Amino acid sequence: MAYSSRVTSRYAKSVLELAEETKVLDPVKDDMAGIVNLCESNVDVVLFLNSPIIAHETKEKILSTIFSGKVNELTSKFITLLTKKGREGALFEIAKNFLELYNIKKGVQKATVYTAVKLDSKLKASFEDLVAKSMNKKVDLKEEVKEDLLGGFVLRIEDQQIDSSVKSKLQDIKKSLN
Amino acid sequence: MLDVRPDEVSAILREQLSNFKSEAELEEVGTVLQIGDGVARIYGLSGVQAGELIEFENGVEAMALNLEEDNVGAVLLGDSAGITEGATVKRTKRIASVKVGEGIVGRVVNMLGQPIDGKGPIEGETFEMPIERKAPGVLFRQPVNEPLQTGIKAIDAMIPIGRGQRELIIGDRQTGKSAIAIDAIINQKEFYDKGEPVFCVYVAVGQKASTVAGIVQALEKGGAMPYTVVVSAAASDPTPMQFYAPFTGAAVGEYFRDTGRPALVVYDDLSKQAVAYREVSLLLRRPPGREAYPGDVFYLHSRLLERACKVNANQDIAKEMNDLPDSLKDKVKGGGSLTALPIIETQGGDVSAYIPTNVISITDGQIFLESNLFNSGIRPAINVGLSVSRVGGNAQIKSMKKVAGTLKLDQAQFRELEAFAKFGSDLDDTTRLTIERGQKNVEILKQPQYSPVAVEEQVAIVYISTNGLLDDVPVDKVREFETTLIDTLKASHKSTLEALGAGKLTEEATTVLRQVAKDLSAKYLA
Repeated sequence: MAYSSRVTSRYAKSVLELAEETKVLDPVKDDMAGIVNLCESNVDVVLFLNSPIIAHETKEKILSTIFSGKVNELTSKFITLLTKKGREGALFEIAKNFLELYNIKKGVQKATVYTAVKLDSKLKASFEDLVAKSMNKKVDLKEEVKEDLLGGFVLRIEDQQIDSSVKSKLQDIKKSLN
Repeated sequence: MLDVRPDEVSAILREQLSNFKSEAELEEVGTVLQIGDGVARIYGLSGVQAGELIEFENGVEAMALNLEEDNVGAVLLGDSAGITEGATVKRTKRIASVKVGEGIVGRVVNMLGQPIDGKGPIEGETFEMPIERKAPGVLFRQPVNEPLQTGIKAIDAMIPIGRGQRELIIGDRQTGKSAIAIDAIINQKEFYDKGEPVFCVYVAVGQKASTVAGIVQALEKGGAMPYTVVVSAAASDPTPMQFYAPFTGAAVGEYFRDTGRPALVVYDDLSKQAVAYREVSLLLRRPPGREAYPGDVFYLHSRLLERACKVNANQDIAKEMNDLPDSLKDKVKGGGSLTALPIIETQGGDVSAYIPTNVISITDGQIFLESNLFNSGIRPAINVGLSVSRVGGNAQIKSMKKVAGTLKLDQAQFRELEAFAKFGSDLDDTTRLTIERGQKNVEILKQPQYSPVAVEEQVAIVYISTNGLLDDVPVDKVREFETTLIDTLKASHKSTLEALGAGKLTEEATTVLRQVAKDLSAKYLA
């Protein structure tokens, strides 16, 4: 079930503000990144969180066994609050939203570069440089290999992209010949 | 085997490729969240405009209609197969438009203006006409003052249509609504032959492809295709294409209107368009209103029909017209017009349903067709009592106006007394005469399909009918009498007909008409 951005941004914002006040911003950010990672790599977790059959109390118990000791105190308190409010299904979305807000706060720009073959570190650095210069922000560059691009690259920054892949060029040629 | 040398082919290829620009540009993109039923929800595209075209990876285009807090709702203008969740969508920064030029005449195109008649691309210079465009403002219009001859006696005499008017054709299924519109198109051949064509656009919405093919064939046979464009969104086309097709038709018509020429556009039919719009609106989760139509279904039709107008004949004023496409600015001429004939299909004669009442209130009058009239052999099955034209009277030619003045009144009186017709000889003389003349008028107004009548012939026959010159002709011989009369006039009184066509109803002409009618009706006396 998809939660509206209104729900998730409210929770994410309050966690961010509280973490900043109590000076545990970075540990909480790591926790959130961990939650996103866990949910992305494990579909069962998301399904479990969203399941209407499992009682909130059970979910709370399971979540506390998963996270106890491994996360910051604020994070575990936050998870408990979510289960009390019956919003545990939104955990994944809230964590993602939290990371976005954190990046905005720290002036970090997320970007993804898609290439047909894996980038070497020199190329990657030059991409980072390019984005950092054009956006005037620190860059968190993710790389992904997409073989069907054939060659070139696609650089995507939020909802803007530079498409310089061989695949799209071939498509454009095909269009112009039609 | 065709002799093609490889080096020629590669030269052509090289030439095309050299024009091809390969620089990468910054694009605005989004990701598909959900797709189905011809509607896509897209995340991202934060700068997209309402009504903008967006493009999927596989080249299919869509139109952004709903801009919401965290997603964009878009309707697909093509096949949704091959588009998956997570696919990338690009902005094109283009508002939907069609390419229109002189070369589009005689063609069958789809809602995007692409030819679908297999005759190759549209030739000649073309101009981008936006599909959604604001109607001309008050300043740029002028009252309707020229007639649009439909060639149908009942309409031209009693419910006249002027150039720039919007006249609704309404009736149940199988009452001959489309037939009237097609006859009106075919009748414009006369003006095409004279070198002052009225360009016609026929928009088919949600009709069977076979029906559209039949209509194109009928137009070809009637010699109407050289000045006609057919915009087709058949029943199997995506629903967004069906509800945008009339807008495409209007855009094509506007090209002729803004270049100073008269145009006629037929929307066949707007009830199907409203249904298509309802479907898309419900899928986009817009709140339903009466009969589950969205709240802006009235605006859908009003903004479409407002685009029909008579453009101010003053060149300087016309040049300043609002929302002119840039490419057309130096081609603008005043005095053009766009006449709209929207068609609405009613269910069981119910004109008080939502869509019919809406469209009746928007248009400048309606031609009301009834199935019981149709079945009793009165074709076109126009109910004269309920049909009106609110502005066309000013556009009628003078001779017709004089002659037809009493016709509508006579028919109203006849309908009141019609029920007494069965008493036969028990009636007083005036009642009997009213009934007899009424019955003859009904005969006069009958007309088979695909046989438009020139306006001068219409004036002649209506004059004879309303002046009691048919009193000696039996009801079942009226049509025979009509044909011989017209033939005689054509053969030996050409100048009289010409005078009538020019709008002059002179003493001389009436004497000729009376004399000819007397001579011809004499043989029915015995």
